Amino acid sequence: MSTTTSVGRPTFIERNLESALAARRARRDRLAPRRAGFTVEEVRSRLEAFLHTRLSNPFSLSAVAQMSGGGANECFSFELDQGGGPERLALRIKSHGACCETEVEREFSALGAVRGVLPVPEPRWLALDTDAFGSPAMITGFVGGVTAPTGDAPLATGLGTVYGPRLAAQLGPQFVEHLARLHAQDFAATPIPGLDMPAAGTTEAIDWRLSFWDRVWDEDAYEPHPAVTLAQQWLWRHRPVVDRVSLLHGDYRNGNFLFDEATGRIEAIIDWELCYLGDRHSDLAYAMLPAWGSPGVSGDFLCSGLVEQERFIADYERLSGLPVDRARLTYYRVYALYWSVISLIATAPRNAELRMTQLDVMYDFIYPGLGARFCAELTTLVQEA
Amino acid sequence: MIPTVTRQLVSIRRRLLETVLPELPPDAGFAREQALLISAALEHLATTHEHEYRYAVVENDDYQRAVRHLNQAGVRIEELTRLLAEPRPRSDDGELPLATITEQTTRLKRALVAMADTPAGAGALAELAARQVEREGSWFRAAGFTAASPPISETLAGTTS
Repeated sequence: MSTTTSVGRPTFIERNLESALAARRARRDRLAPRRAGFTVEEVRSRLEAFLHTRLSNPFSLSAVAQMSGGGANECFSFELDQGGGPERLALRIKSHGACCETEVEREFSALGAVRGVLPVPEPRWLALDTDAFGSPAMITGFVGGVTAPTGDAPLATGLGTVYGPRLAAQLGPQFVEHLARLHAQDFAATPIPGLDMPAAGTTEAIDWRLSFWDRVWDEDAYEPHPAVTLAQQWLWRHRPVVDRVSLLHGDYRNGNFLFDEATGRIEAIIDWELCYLGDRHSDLAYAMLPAWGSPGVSGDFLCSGLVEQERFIADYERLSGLPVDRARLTYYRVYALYWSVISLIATAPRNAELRMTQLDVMYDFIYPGLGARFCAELTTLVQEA
Repeated sequence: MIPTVTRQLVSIRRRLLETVLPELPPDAGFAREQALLISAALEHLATTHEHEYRYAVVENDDYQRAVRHLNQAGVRIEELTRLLAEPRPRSDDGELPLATITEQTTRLKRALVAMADTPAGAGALAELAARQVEREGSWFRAAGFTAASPPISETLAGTTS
């Protein structure tokens, strides 16, 4: 793409993300009181109205309940009966002030694209405009399971989930296999709605990502941060060419899959809102970030609390047939820390101040706290590189 | 340093009023009264805490002057010599409001980034990054992710200006 800044950096970002940022600016400019979240009754009534536009046969709704979470999406589960018995579904409504601006069509399309390749919730209906639910939203199948052990596994510090030896041994190989399968899938011939396709053999994929985060930093940061400036310069200077374009999950780590505690089986990979088409090393480096991991029984560090790094790489290469380039792994580790820092120390406090979220206490304390850790890691990594 | 303590106090108070208070049962009179009292206290802290250091300096200076004046006039008590020899703040310490200092620092940061393309600027930026992330790690250590960082008092004490 030909658009560049005065310092020669490309500025193109994917079209629907450009629109998402424009919509966010409009929300921020409106000084009307923010929507403080829907009650269960409001959701039920909006669901009924929405489904009347999608279903021609009579139906009934029941068991509407708010689900945990609420950072990027407000989530509700409900049962839909179209005459053949109740079916449990999930409604995900985009938050007005998430710490990462994402776009619902991308997530919906990615779920459709990977169904049959990976276990994911079935995408059912998409509501792109804000009429139905106040924000863009989607309805998917409901998948049972947990995102972290509920039993007697020791509690982790920070974000790292400690699964314990049994679950780590059961979940680890599946965690690697699902990522390998995702990246090995060839989407070049089948465009995914909502996702622009960068060209292999170029830096387009990372150019678009860096341009997006440049824009977010410009809009959200209160002041320059030397660690961010150094990382930004380094990332633009060292952009690697992508050898093969893969669909990336974008947030592949512990906490973003549902599993059955009894069987140790991964039931679904969830939270696809950060997906994009690009270099597989981006997902790999992100899953290996120290913040998500924890030591195993032998004391070795387990990536995402599940698998030791060299084992992760060897199994991934064998299962995907794709080589892992250590230099690109380092590059994308810097990139993962960089965009995480922008979300944590710029977007989150900005949205808290603008009253766009009910998570303002967390956005003003826990997120900058994690941002401080990531900033320290980022500074060390850039200086070593 | 972002978010400031004021910002955090304001968001905590907002969450108390918008999320916690409406959920209290109508007959929970005492809990409701306490929640409103906590809200008022948070509002008070948000508007006053930035001035605590200057308040302490002004008060200290007031008493220093009075005691020194009496000492010079020959009114003395035991330990006075040792007390008056202790380190004390300069009378103009904390004179600039916090908001003024942080706003000026932000402009300094922008100036530095504008000079970062030169080798000297890049070197300065790297050194500043190391010191800034050290301070941030200490400041947010209670959030749990940088718990190994020294307390902020130690980190600031170790910084030479």
